[in-house]
Order: sequence, then structure tokens, then C-alpha cells
Amino acid sequence: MDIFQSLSFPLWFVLIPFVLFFALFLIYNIFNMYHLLRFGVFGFGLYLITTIYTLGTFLLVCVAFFILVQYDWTTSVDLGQLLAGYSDSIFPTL
Amino acid sequence: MVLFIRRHWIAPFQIFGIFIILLLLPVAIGYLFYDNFVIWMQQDVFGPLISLIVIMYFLCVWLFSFIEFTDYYLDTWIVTTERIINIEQKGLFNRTASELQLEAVQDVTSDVEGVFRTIFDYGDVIIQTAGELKHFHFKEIPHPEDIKERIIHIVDQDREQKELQGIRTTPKPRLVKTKTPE
Repeated sequence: MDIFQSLSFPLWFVLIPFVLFFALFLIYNIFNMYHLLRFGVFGFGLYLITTIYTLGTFLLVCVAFFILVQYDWTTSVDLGQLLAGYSDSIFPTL
Repeated sequence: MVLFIRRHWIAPFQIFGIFIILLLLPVAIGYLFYDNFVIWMQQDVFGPLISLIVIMYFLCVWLFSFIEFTDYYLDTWIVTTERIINIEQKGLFNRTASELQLEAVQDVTSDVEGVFRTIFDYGDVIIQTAGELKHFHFKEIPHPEDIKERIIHIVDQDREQKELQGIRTTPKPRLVKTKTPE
């Protein structure tokens, strides 16, 4: 346990898997849109679907960005403190 | 083009319903554990971590709902006066498109099973063929009985026309079955 207690890392490390996830999200989005445009039947329906999809994705990404940007990602995470079990401050109602 | 068929509206309705449930799920959990949640969100480490997880969850729900919708939207069956075209999208990376000449149709079956399908009048139509592909399966389409009748009518017309033109067809007794709930 001692080795964990001395370990700490900046909070932005957790953004690395998030960035990978986000890259996959974008790739799947592009494929989905490609399929809709390549194989869908052109008309108002397809126009409506792609517009809703694009706007929805854009809105979600913007909201995600504005939520994440307000945190201080340089905060140091002390692993020992995290592994010390629950504290009254984390589970105040228990 | 004589018929352009997609799955019944109940299919996108199901996708939309599941989408709404999955959207409301974290809201309900947040409401149940509101006191803990507020304190976690104020912490330097747990706040950003929870935000990341929640954002990833919503992005996943949005993406997979639309992948499901694309799957529905691109599954189409087209019946023309010459052939039947079966286009099936399975996920994002699997797409099958096959064609069947009307003269290869051997039998047509409509299948409506279950309470929901009977109430909303949707089900499957299966077309047995003489070709390599053993059968065409129209899944969850609206008014399967009517569509079966129309396909039989189109096939009969095609056969008569070819006989009149002197084109030799392979007349085979076509067994037409209808499955309905007992």
C-alpha cells in the first residue's frame, strides 16, 4: 500500500482515455453519416434525419466541452488518499 | 418501382423509447442520490471524473441510438415489375444487397405472431426462391398480408406476360401460406 500512498498524478491523465473514446465517437459518427448519405434515399426525410443528427451531435459536443473546461485539470490526484476507503465527505448520508 | 417497404413504425418508436429511458436513467439516479451527488460534484477529483463518465454515457446513448436508427432506415425491400431487391444493414460495417428475379419466386408466406403484431398489423413476409439465396425475409413490415397478396399478384402478372411473349418460364405450384395467431 505504501507505494500507492506516494503515487500522485495530474488529473488531466484521465482525459487521455476520454480523448481516445472521443476519437472513436467521431469515427463512428462519420461512418454513420456516410452510410446515411451513401445508401439513404434522397429526400426530405434524409435531409431531416441528417440535420437532427448533426445538430444533436454538435450540441452534445459543445455542452461536453463547456462542462469540462470549467474544471481545473492540473489538480494533483493522490492515489493513497483515493484508496484509503470511503470518508464522511464522500458518503455523507451513509 | 411497385413497392418500397421499410419496417413498421413500431421499430423506430422502440428505438426512440429506449433512447428516452436511457436519457432519463442517470437523471433518476442523480435524483435518488441527490445529497451524495451534490457533494461529489464539488470535489476536486470526483467532480470532473463523474462529469467525464456522464458525458461519455450520453455520447454513447446518442451514438448507439442513431446507429440503431440507421440500421432501421437502411433496411429496405423494393419490389418492381421485374425483381425483388433486399437491402439489409447490419450494424455499421455489414451491408447485404441481393436481387431476385420474379420468375424465381416459389412461394410467399406472411407471418403475424403475437399480440402486438396482431394489434398493429405488422409481421414478416418470407419469399422462398429457386435461386442460390434460399429465401428473402421482409422483417417487421406493415400489413404483411396485403404485401404478400400484392407480391403474388405481381409475380402472376410477370409470369403471364412472359408466357404471352413466348418466354419459357418454370411454372411451379406455389404454395401460399398464412400464419396467424391462434
